[in-house]
Amino acid sequence: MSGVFPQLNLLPLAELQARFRAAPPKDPDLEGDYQLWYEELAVCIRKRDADEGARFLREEAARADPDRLASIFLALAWFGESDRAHADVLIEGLHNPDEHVAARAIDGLASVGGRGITEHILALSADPRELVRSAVLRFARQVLPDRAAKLLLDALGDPHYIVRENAIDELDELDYTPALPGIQALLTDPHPHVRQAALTAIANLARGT
Amino acid sequence: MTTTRIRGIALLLTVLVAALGLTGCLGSGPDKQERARANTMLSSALSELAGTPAVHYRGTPPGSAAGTAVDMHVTSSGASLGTVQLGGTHLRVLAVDGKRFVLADAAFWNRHGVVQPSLARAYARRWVQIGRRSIAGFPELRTPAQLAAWVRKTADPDAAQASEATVHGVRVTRIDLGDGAVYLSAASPRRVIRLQGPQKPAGGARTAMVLALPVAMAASPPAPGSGVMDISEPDAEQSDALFDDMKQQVDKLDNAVDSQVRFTNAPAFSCAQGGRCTASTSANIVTGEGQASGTVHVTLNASMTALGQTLQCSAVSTVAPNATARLSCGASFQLPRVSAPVTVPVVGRLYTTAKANIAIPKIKKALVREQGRNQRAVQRRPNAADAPPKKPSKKACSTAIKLLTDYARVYEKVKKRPMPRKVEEQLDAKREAGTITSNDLPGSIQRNFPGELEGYTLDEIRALCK
Repeated sequence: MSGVFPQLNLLPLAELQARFRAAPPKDPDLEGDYQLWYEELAVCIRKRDADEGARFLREEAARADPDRLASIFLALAWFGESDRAHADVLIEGLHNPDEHVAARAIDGLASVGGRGITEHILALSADPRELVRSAVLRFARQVLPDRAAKLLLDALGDPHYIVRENAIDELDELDYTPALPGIQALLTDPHPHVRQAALTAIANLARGT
Repeated sequence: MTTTRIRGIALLLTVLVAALGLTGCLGSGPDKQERARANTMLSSALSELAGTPAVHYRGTPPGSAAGTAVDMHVTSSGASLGTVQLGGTHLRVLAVDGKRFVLADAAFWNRHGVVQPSLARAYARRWVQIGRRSIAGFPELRTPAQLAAWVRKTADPDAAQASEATVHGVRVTRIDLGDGAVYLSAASPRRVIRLQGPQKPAGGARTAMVLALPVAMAASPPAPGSGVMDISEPDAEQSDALFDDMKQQVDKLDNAVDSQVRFTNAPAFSCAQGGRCTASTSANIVTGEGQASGTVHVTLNASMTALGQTLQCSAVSTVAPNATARLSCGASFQLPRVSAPVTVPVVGRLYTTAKANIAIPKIKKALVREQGRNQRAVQRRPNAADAPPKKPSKKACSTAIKLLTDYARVYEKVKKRPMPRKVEEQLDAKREAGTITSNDLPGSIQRNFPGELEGYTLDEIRALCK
């Protein structure tokens, strides 16, 4: 069910699929964020009929644009099944030139069983695209928590604020209290989101010490 | 001695959902803050209801005709199984693949236009497919999402007022909506547990809004104020049993008949000298809703009695909808030798039926798949409202609170673009009210939400996590 577009919750599967194939609505409130529209649609399709929805989305992946493809990856990984067919589609997305798509593929593989290609994914931590580097941090925390700390601590010094922010959040999720000094140093980060993430993480981690 | 099938079945369906009667807000009423609180609770519970994989409706749909009661399970796909009581008759009801079937006694069919006793008896032994408007007073089988949408659409937010009440000995929250009410579980996540219709007949300036559709051709008009219908969610075990039962019943659809198919001519029979009797029919097939193509399997059934002997025969033919079916069958009586011709009276009971066009393997496969999805969904849903939730883990608490308060930042860090302002404003309003839940979040954030706290409001999570 979509909380963002509740009108989708009442549509039959066929109508949801038709809308997924159609052009996005000309709604100024979307502010051009068509990926959000397709994400909510794809998740609705998957929730409405997990198997048929997945089959449809895998088929659509072959001809989808980046917005749709990223949304397909989100929906395929929704139930976290360790499904080879899902994983194959996601692996194909790893090297997509669009960073949103590649990042979402990594996120998806963390959910559906990317264990066979962990080294391959970790190597993407040097990717020039910040969304991809961020996704690798999330992947590492979920799939390789024992090895994630070093990667996350290193990422606190990443030049892009999104990567630093993701690193803080993942250290928080990892409950990694030794990171507190490094995170405290980012309370003066130039980007407000990094400062906000640091504040939240410090509060959460401090409660555990 | 001949018959057609259902003649003049003129039935109309009532709606399972009943009525929230509501009025405009004139003069005194709940103040703005009180209304907002009630509406927030109602909205949250309706969101929960919309996401429910299956519901169990039990009671009298408010606004329905007197004597109507239901005990039905309806899944999110619309598959349904249960009983409906209509004016003292208990009907077993099955809905699958967008088709509805009823199992009723012969008296019921006789009252509903099946004038031929033998046909009514034939109907009584099997599932009979009916159309949406076939039976007066028959409830509409709304899925949880449809029911939630319906209540949302018909509820008057200006009349909403919350109070404490008791249902089956359990403390609950009643959202009064003028002439009707919705009862919600007191514990979180709030669930809709009862719908109640108007307490008094509509009249004057007060316009009662009826949750049930009017019964267009029912014998009696809806009885306002009579409807109380309880709503509950089957647990995993009950849900499994429901699907197993549905699959068993689907197997029995193999001999189901379609009451919507009509025949323009009645079958007849004739007997020749020597005792050979032949039943035959030549009738145009007029199909009901949803079958303009495909094929219709027609059966001619004949039972002929003479001199204490009863002989039966049948014939089957497959024809296109709206084509002409020609069928005949015969049987020979063993007549005693006589010295001069005599006339022997023969009583024939003849009727034609159309086999319901059902793809049983396909339906069963769909049910198996839905059963699997349903199991996953039930397992993912928060604990039942009346069971105190377990203390969540510290990590679950901090993650849930972060996602429910810092959603704009989280959205941007994953997507490298700000959340659309309108979406953020809607979430901000819910966050400020403390009513935001994981269900309100975009999927890209929702997927990381801790399962044990799904569906709880921010205020409730804060309270649980203290």
